[in-house]
This record gives sequence, structure tokens and C-alpha cells, in this order.
Amino acid sequence: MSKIIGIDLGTTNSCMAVMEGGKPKVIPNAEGKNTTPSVVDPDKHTVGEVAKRQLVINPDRIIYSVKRLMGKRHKDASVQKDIKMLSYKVVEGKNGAAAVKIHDKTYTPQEISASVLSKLKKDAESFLGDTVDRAVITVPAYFDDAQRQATKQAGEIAGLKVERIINEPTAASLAYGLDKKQSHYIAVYDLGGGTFDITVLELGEGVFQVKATNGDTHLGGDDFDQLIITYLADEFKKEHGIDLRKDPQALQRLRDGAEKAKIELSSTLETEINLPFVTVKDNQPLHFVTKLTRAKLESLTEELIKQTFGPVAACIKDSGVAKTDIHEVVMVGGMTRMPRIVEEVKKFFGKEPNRSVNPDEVVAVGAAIQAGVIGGDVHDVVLLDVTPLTLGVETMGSVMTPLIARNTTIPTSKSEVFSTAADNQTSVDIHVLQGERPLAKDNKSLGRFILEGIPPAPRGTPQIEVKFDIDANGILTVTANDKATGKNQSIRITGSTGLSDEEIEKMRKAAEEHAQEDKVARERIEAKNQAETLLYTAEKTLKENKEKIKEELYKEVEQKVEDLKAVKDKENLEDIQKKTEELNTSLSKIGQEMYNKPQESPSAPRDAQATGDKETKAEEGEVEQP
Amino acid sequence: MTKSNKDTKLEELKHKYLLALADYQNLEKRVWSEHERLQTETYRKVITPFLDIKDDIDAAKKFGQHDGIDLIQHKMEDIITKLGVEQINPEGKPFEPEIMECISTEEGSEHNRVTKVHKKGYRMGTSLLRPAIVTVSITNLQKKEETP
Repeated sequence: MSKIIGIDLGTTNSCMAVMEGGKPKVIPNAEGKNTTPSVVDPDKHTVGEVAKRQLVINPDRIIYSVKRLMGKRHKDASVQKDIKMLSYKVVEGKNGAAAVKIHDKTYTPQEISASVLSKLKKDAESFLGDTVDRAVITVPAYFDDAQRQATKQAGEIAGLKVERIINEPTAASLAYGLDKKQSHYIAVYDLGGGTFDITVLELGEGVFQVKATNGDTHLGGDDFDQLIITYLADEFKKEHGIDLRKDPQALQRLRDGAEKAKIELSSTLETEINLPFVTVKDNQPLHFVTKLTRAKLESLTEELIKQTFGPVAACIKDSGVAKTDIHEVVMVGGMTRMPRIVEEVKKFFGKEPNRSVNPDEVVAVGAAIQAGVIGGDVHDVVLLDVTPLTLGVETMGSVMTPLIARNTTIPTSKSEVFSTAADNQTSVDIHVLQGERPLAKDNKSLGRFILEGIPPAPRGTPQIEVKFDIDANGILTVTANDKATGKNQSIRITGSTGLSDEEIEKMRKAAEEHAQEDKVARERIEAKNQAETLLYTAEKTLKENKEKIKEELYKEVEQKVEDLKAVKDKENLEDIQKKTEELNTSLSKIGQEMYNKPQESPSAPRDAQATGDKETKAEEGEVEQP
Repeated sequence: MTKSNKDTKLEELKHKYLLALADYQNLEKRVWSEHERLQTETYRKVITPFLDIKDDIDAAKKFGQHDGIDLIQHKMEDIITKLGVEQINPEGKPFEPEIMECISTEEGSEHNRVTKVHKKGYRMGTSLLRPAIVTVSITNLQKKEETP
């Protein structure tokens, strides 16, 4: 069954998302961007960035902001006002509806919007690798029946079955999961590229009700950019007497610089606008370098920000809901990234607004969540659990060696080969642990068992495969298998994922709190393990090659062995590491000496190699001695 | 559970299994294409600011020759080329909105030709890093009103 996508069909930009594996995912367009300009060239059937780039050369043919005309009559006051600002021709179509005329052809706003939706549909299909023929589309809360109907028709023209039309503020609230709480009031502050909307909603327990909505259809991010451009151009004019706005290339650079500065000032307090060779005066190049502070930007745009609070106050009044009864405030639209706007909204409502979801994508994400509910995605997908904490075994030096990391989706299985820690060890103790701490004693013990009957062999030789198996119900089976004899032993643990949320949280917190001391303890144990392994190798090498090693070197290694033995059980990590390093250096001289006279002892290098291999294995993971 | 109930359950489980398997295989493909997309996006984010500096160097050269500047320009172009970035310089070519952005128009003898390149464009494989910023000629006697 094909997926239903959620579409935020915006005035300036559009965005789409889909539910995948129970989570909303924004779908990038063919150009790799998460939002697509709602701009159309109906003649050449181009949409988005490509159409927008021709706006200057074909202002009468490129259609933008068509959402302002959706479902409207030509004689409507708002249409008459918009006509003055739009560069293309708006005419009276069938039954007095507003329509767009290009050359001799008339297009309904539905047809233009359908072009945007068609591109989104095509890009979504290519991204998902599947047919997309159903969608949930969002509209502003103030859209009347005719406007909603027109939006639905646009979807149908684009080959999409519109499963539902939902309000943009409702979608934004869904993205924050606010519908899951008990019925409460929410305010949605939406400052987009060209429009501002404020809505008070009642949401929760199956209630979706718009209490009031207000806004300014001609106030948005573009106005903020324009103010910065005007300020910068005036500054330059004051200094050099040249108006950069009259030179298209300089204006373009100024516009880019202004937008960049605006974005940067959301995260920094000061930014530099640096435009070398911006124009020419008396055949001499002029440069434009200036600093813009956040405070300056705020004072420039103060009036615009203030303008939004008129509609906000009116909306609250109309809703009949007291300001103090509004439980949540949700921020939508790229402009709401501006710290001053967040501050003012917080000051007005007396609470921190929700803004963790990308404000450019939050409406599409909410639409996708609604689409997921309609499509029953949640029921179709096999919901798989995850292991809440890491599972592992205790190894040499009481270290917890993880086998299955936390958050691994189950069912799953993982195995690793371990070896013995002592010569002629005939049994191993498998201690199963759960938790995030590096030392065995700090984790929860889930159970232990002993695998016996391992044939006597030098340490590091036996190969014991330990396998962790968790089924879909969270039941863990741990099996240890001696590869030489085929003997195996296992344990079944039923409560491995059955910890309460509090227990899991407590264990995670403990791991975070003790991270530093755990790191030190683990380093010490690792150093000690390394020292012991090296001591074993050194003593074995000395014993097996006594005749072949020069007396001087033999004594040197012997001395270093004693030195290391003296410090290995002490607390000083640096001492252990230093003495280990020293022994290692002396020991490698034995290897060098033997390599230099292969004719005397042809088997020596192979032996040394073999020993080395075993030791590496032993070092990596040995099961603790019983 | 009766036999027919069991059969229904089995069918249901088989369906869910196939669904999960298909989901996984699709995810694998997606992860790969997403990886490529992210790589291109990362390149775009890293390279694009340097293209601005390259523009400045190009502009500086218009005001006099300087061997040092030439060398810097050459070095920069070399790095960009080695990264697989291709320059778009459409001077005199027909206007193509797929790779160019028109910021102004001027009257000319031929319609829709690039008369000035304010900033060169750049692409990497099939992905456009930045469109070329251009002025385009129009033949209409009455020059079209320009939108900001």
C-alpha cells in the first residue's frame, strides 16, 4: 500500500514529509533541498528554484504567492489589494473567480498550485521509490470552505487523493505531540516568508478546535530582509554618495549579505558584512565592510516585531481564553529563529515557547503525522522493541565487555570468541551483565553459569564462543561453546528488557555521573591486564629460549619483569604503563636477536609469531577465571 | 485456535514479514542515496563560501594585474577543479534557468541571451552548487517591469 505524504503548501515555500518506521521524515526535493519555492512557470512547466530564477526576466509569466488567490473571487478586496503587488496579471475567471492570465491562456490558482504539488509528488516518489497518490495538505486556519475546496482540487489535479485538509497550526501542534495530552489551549505563532498568523486552538482527547485566528497577510521575513538592505545601502550612500540599490549586481550582493547577516545574528551577537569591489567610483573600486550587531538588527526590526503583537492580542481576546490559560505556545516559520522574537513571545505569554522542531518543517511534519494516523502506518509496521541497556559479559580484571549495545533493535544475536586467562584452565565462568558502566560490579548481574571440560591448554589457546540471542519478547539466551570439544552450556534470562523506566533511567544516569572515575578505573584495569599478558609472554619467552638469548639481554628482561611485577598491582597507572613499555622494548630485542640469526634457530620466528597471536587474543577478551 | 484461524494468522504474519523485509531493503537503498545526498550537501556547504572569495579575487583582477593575485586565483581554481567542481560561465549563451539566475535585463538585439555574468556558477556532477548570476537581453521595445 502506498504511503500518504503530508504537504505544507505555503505561500512562499512548500515542504513535505512522510511517516517512516513510526517517525516523521522530511522528504528532500530533486534539488536536495527540504523546502521548494511555491513558484511556477506554467508555460514551461517548471516549478521551484528553476522558475524563481526567471522571475526578473519573465515577471509576467512566473507565478508566485498564488495561495493568496486560492478560492477567492476577483472582486474580493484582498484580491484587489494583492493585484497591485503581483507582477503577473490577475483576471476574472469562471463564475467571478480570481484567475491568472499569461499571454492568451488563463489558469486557475488551483492549476498553478497543482503544478507545485505535482513536483512534490514526483520528487517524493523518486525519494520513496514508490507511487505516491494520497496526501494530507495543510491550509491556514482562516481559510474558508471555498479556499479549502480549491486546495483539495489542486491536489486532485496533481493526481493526489487529498485524504484530509488540516489547519497549519493544528499540524504544528501535532508535530509536538500536543494532541496526546488532555484537552488544553495552544497558541501558534507563525511568522513565515511573507505572512504572519496567530491561532488559538483547543486540542487533545480528540478535540481539534480553532478558537480564534488573526494575522497580517503581508508581513514576513522578506520585510525584515528589506529593512536590513535599506539600512546597509543608506550607510554606504552616506559614506560614498552611491546608491547600491540602483546597481542590480551590487543589490544582489547586498541582499545575500543581509540575509546571511540576519541568519548569523540568531546565533552570534555581531557579524561582519564584507563586500569587496562592490561598486566603482571614478574608476576606483569601492568596498563595503561594516559590522552589524544583534542589538542593531533588533532596533531596526523592532517595529515589525511589534506589529505582530497587535494581531496576537486581538486573537487572544477573540478566543475568549485567558492568556494564563494557554498551556503551550508553538513557533512556526523561519523568522521565529530570531532570539528577539522568541523573547517577546515568551514575555507576552509568560512561558517558554516550543521550538525544538525545525520551524520551516514543523507544519509538514505535523501533516505527515496526521497522514500516518489515517494510513494506519502504526498498525501495519511491526513495532520492534529495543534493548534499553547494554548487555555483556564479565572478562579479566572484572571488566564488563559489551556484546549488544543499548538501543539495538530486537530480535538480534551477537557472538564473540573469548579465551582463558590462565594456563590449563578447564572451566570458564560466564557472568551475564546489563548496564552502561565499564566495571562488572557496577552493572546489574542477570545470571551466571560455568562451562566445564575445557581441555588443559596454555592461556589464550582455547576458543570459547559466547553467543547472546534476544528474541522479539526480550528473552535473552546466552550460550557458551568450546570450539575444540563442542561442549556447550547456556542460560535463559527472561527479565532482560523488563526493567522499569525508572530503573533504566537510574542506570543511565549513574553511568553519566560516574563517567570520569569509571574511565580511570577502566584504564587501570586495562593497563594491569596488558601488564599481566606481557609478563606471561616475557616469562614464557625467557623459559623457552634461555639457551638462545645472550646472558646480558636475558638479565635485562628478567630485571624488567621484576620491575613490572612490583608495580602492576599498585594504583599508579603511569608507573604500570611506563614499566610495561620498558619491558616491551627489552622483550622486542629478543625477537630482533633471533631474527638476525635465523640459521641457528629456524623455528624461532614462527613460535614467536604464534605466541604473539594468542596473546593478542587473550588481551582482547578473556573470560574471567573461575 | 482452529486450522482456518491458524492459516489466517500465518498469512497475516507472512504479510508482516514481507512488509518488514521490503521496508528494510528500501531503507538500505535509501540510506545509500541519502549518504550521497548528504555528501553533496556537505561539499556545497564547505565549498560555496570559498566561491565567494573566488568572486572577490576575480573582481580584484579587473582593477589591475598582479602576479601574486594571478597565482592565488590559479591555486584556487586548481583546488576547485580537483574537487570535481565545474565552472559555469554562460557569457553570450542562451539563458538557462536550470543553471542561471537572472538579476536584471537590458535591451539587446537578441532575446534571452546572457549579456553579463556577475558571478560564475558552479556545479559538481549533476548537482548545482550555485547558479551563475546573470543579466539577460530582451528585445521588447517596451522593457518589462522588473520585480525586485
